[in-house]
Amino acid sequence: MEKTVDPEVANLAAATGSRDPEVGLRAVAALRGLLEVLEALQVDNARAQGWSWRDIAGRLGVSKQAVHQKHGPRGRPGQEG
Amino acid sequence: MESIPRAVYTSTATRTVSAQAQMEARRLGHHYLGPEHLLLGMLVHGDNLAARVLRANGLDLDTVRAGIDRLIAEGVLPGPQPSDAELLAGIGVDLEAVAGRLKETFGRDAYRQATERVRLRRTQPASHRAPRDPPRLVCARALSIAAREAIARDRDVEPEHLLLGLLGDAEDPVESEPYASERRERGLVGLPDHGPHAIRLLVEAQGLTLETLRAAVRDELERPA
Repeated sequence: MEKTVDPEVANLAAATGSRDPEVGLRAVAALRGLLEVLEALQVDNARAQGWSWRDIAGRLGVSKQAVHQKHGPRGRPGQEG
Repeated sequence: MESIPRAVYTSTATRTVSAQAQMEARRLGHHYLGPEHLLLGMLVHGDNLAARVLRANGLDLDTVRAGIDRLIAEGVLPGPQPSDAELLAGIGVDLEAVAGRLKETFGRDAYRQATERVRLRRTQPASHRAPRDPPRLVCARALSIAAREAIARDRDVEPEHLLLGLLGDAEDPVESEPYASERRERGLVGLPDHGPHAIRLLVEAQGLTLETLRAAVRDELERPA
């Protein structure tokens, strides 16, 4: 028998704010991925506009070390610094 | 894992196999592209050396599809999965709208680069799939073996090299996976982190071994045209 996926199944799982950890945990991972991309774009933009690491860290509510470690040259794979 | 000695191109047939594999992944409701999809892709494409060897050994399209359904039922492969967009819709976030706004503000390239950078971070990496992105490859070792098989014969990567890659990759259990990013990705898509590879199980279910199939592919490759 041909196995086909009913898109309704996947949609329903998501749309009901499921108590199923399989769906719930995945949603957290997806949201975290989106958040990290958003942060990376905003931090790059701030740096391009001349913002200091200190000011960026302040607006994000984290330490300067944390933001520099994550978004500075060392946090970029394939680049040294 | 030794590195690939030089850049290598894929043949038209291999690109078709890959496109078919993506369709198979979609059909199964998977948001990743793994060895099992590539195996199906070869058979759907049909007119290539890999598919001929597979069929001659009893691994035709229907048999492999049934085998994959069985592995899904046994939990070796995941069942249909919601996409990032569907998961986020479930908690009230419209990913299409957010991604659209980000691309509009920062540009498509910046968005894509940020996604890759976040994924490849050594600490706290995070995965992000934009709506309608192609599925992410979860078969790095198989592709690396395929590339080296093609280079050793001074050819573009053909489906038969890809098959040698899938069979070579499946020799070692999942827990021997050399790429950290791939181990992470396996967890995110719901693939087990240990045990035999799906390809190995599919081959052995037909009473074959990985080595006999590989030998059959090599025989065909060495046969004068």
